[in-house]
Amino acid sequence: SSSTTSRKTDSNRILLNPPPLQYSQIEIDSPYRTVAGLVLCRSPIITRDLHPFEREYYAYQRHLARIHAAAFPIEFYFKKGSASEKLWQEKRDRENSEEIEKARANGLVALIRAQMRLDVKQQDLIDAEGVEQVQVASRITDADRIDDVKSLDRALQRTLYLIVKKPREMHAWQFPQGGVRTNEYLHEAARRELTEECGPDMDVWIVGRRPIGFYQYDFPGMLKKDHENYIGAKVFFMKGHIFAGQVKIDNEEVVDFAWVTKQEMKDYVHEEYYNVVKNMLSEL
Amino acid sequence: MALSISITRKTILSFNSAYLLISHNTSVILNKVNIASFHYKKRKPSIPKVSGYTPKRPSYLPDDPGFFAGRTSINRFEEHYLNTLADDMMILLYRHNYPAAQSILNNTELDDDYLAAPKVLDDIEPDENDDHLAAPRVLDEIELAENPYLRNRKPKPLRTKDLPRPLPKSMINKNLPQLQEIDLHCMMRDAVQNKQHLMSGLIALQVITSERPTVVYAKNNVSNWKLREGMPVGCKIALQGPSMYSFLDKLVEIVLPRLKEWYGIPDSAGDTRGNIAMGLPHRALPLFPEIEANIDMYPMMTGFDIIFKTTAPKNQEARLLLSGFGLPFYPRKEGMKNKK
Repeated sequence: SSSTTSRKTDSNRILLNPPPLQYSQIEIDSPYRTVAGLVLCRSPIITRDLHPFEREYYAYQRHLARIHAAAFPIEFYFKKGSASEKLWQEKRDRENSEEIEKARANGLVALIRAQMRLDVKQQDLIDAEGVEQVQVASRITDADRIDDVKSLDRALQRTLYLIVKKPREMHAWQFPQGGVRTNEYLHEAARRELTEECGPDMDVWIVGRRPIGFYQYDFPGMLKKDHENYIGAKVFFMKGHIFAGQVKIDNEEVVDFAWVTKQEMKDYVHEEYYNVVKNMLSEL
Repeated sequence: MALSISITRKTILSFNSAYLLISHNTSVILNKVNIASFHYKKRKPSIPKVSGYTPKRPSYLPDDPGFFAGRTSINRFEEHYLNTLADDMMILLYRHNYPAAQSILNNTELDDDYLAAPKVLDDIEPDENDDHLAAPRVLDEIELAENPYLRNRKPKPLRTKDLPRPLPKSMINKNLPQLQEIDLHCMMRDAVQNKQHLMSGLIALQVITSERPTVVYAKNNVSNWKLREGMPVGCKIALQGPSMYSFLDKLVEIVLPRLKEWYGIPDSAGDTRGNIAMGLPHRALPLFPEIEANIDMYPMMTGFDIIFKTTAPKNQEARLLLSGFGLPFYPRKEGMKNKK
């Protein structure tokens, strides 16, 4: 039974530690160079902004849930004569105030707006009394305001992708990529190329060992001298997540980098390249 | 209600189709076995009817007595699943079918080292329990005729574990593993002596989930514990949708990180059908914010079981989904066991 349990747990760890290649890889006699690219994502950090209709619908459902809910058991939650009970009573009295009654007569939307205004007022009262409150950070950061494309704190509700700039005029911006050696997996090649081009200061997890996209292209005339035996390249894109750290470029192989959303990428990469990679990228 | 009926019908149909496939391959005669109405041992216990708050016919109309509100806000965990987790799971669980590649491999001459080496094709290795094409333990006509004890007797009804499991589905967006339901179950041994002890567990579950739990009654008589059939001994609640995600949020973000001497869910967890169970000890209850607010009102702290029901067909896929939501899994080692 010990062997069966160890096999069960081993199957989970194969995800993290694939067995090393023990056999000699077959040399592919192809005029195209095998290249591993990396689509490095910074996932959304906050939930998305709601559509106005969504906001109204949720507010309406919250109102309905509140009026249909069972009576709140004050004695169960608050001790008689305590400060928190006093606050609760004040809130309830405010809810029954004239303002609410007037708004109720004007319809549901006016009622909800009046309730929201009262919640804000109560928040101010609580702050004045010095009760400990959680500071809610702004959804728009400094990086958003100054449009710093190198920052990872920008566009918190969107997915950001890493693109790097090579020192050439045509097809300069692209995902980090590099050739796959004969003794490594695709995901190992992608990780190695990222470290070489963008530095080692990033905590990255590459999702599995399968590529998410494929791009085959012929080298334009001026690049043919770099790879003499090949007429083009076959790029296999791997997906990766960044959890911490930042890119550090060496200004030789890579001269610039940017963390951009799917829509912003159109302004950086070539049109042909964008048409190939756009289906791998998330809309949000 | 309608949703639950359609799920049962689907599973039975999938059993039928899978069973017929296997019968074609192994030429098992199916006449004697009644698949469409497979039955299990049913007992009719004398359990009193529960007259709880749950409405019989839920309605979206505000004026109806059986009204319940729709979604009141966006779910953080659901958004994470839709935007990030489902994407990553598709990449990790995708099964490539390359008939063309297979034929090429069969025709070309490859060296012995390549052929002998293990080919790691999937990101997740199959478990020995996940034998999808296991034939059911069914006696064919010849065996039935030869066995004197079975002559002139009705064939034994099939048990759930004798039925073949559905064949693996193609990995498309629709078939990705999803978190379907979370079941909480609290068994209170002290309720045998005094029925009032049920209240603390009932109220605790209600306060945590914001839904009314139903009482669980005993099905067996156990004289050692002075237990009689029909006695109320616990409570349970099934969470779906927004309330499920909000409970999971509280569990993963607040309760589990603060729970001491609890290492996670074992690496081998799972019932081979996509359900993973875990238990929370009694000291986990005061970590929930709703109970922490007025801890004095709960004289008895009880632990409870949590069962995560997913649509995954394998253990590993269910574990992958739950770990994506933030639930920790730990490798079973000596000396590392969750304290009760």
